[in-house]
Amino acid sequence: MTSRPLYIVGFMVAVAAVFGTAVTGIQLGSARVLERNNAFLRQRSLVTVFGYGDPRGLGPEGVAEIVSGNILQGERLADPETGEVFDLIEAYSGPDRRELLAYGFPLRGLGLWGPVEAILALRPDLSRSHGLVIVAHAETPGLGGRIEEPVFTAQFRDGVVTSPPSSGAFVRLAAPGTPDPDGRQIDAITGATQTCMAFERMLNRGLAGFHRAMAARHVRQRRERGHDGVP
Amino acid sequence: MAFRDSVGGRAFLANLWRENPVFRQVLGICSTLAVTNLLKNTLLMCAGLVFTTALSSVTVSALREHTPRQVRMMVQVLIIAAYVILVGIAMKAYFPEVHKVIGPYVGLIITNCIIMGRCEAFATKNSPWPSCLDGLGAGLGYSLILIVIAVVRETLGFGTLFGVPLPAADRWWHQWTIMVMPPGAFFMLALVAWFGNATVRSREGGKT
Repeated sequence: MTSRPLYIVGFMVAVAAVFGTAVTGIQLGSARVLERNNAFLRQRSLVTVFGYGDPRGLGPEGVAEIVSGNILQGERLADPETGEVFDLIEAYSGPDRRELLAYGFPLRGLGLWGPVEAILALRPDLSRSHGLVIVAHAETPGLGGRIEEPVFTAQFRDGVVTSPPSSGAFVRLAAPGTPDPDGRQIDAITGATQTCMAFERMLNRGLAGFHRAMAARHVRQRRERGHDGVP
Repeated sequence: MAFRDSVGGRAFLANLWRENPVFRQVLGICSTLAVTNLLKNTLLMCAGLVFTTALSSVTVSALREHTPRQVRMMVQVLIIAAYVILVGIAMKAYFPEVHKVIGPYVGLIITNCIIMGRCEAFATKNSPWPSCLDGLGAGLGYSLILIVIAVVRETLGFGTLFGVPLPAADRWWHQWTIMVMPPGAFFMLALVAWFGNATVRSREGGKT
């Protein structure tokens, strides 16, 4: 072993090159599997949030079939007040997508430790939640991480009032068992108060923006159909 | 030569209990506290650590004659990081659900002092095979403690084991919320450390 500076630099460069190349190669080699996993997890999230059944028993093909047959994606809506963009998801039921089952949109924000990504589904009249699924998070396993479990998400299954409130917030966090006169309450998870509070902020911000974006869409559609100004 | 008399064998056995990284060397405490409320997460974290510790030790040992002393720790971190990234990719590819939950902690294996500690203390002075055994022993010693803590925490905190509810849990089990929370991990770690240290001391006392 030598301690000449040129050897030291050369050794570091060589080691970095060998390990860097190996890791990059493996990352590239597994990119297809990772992409497939990500796509499958996202499609499974859609099946779950719109209530098309339990996706655990379905393989990737079954999940993909449900999504392609019932769900429309691609339209982007902008909140006219903040400019925030929402990717609109439309879920249908019945043959040939006849009946609109629910709208959905990805909800993103900061949890206690990092970004949280969810998909929130609302009834077609946007008056109540249809479902919620947490797609990604970095919260504490067993504590804040439980926001992805049914103990938290099940309360959004046709449960929470999401129409614009006359005053106050769209939804509010409360301890389980607290009286809920207006149906806007979400039960927090014991030991995960900070994560739940962060999620409450995310929901209120997302719902306010989504309602505004949908109202703007409605106006635009009416205008396009020639209804604007018609008595 | 018997396994227990070889250099690697001695290191392997010592790391399992007498020189256990968690309760004797007080290393790897962060992940011990963070991932032990569910047994499945704990096992996958342990598998990642055993893999990284063993292979990092082998690689550091294989390069020890050529690694300049001045940059040896940079080289060790680079090697460890490469193996941890491999663990992360494997977990994302084959256990995407679990990766969603413990992904942030997998990245933190890089900073686990056990790995760097074994590389610096043993692998830089010994040949690859004994270094591999030393790394395996350290990883398995760490895993042993984490599994014990996780079994108690998941059972008392969630009423499940591997996510499966305990038999007739609704009749007799009552949730110990504190076991799911960080203080529960501190209590359990302290109890295990107390038991482990007392056992090691009593054995050492018996010999002398």
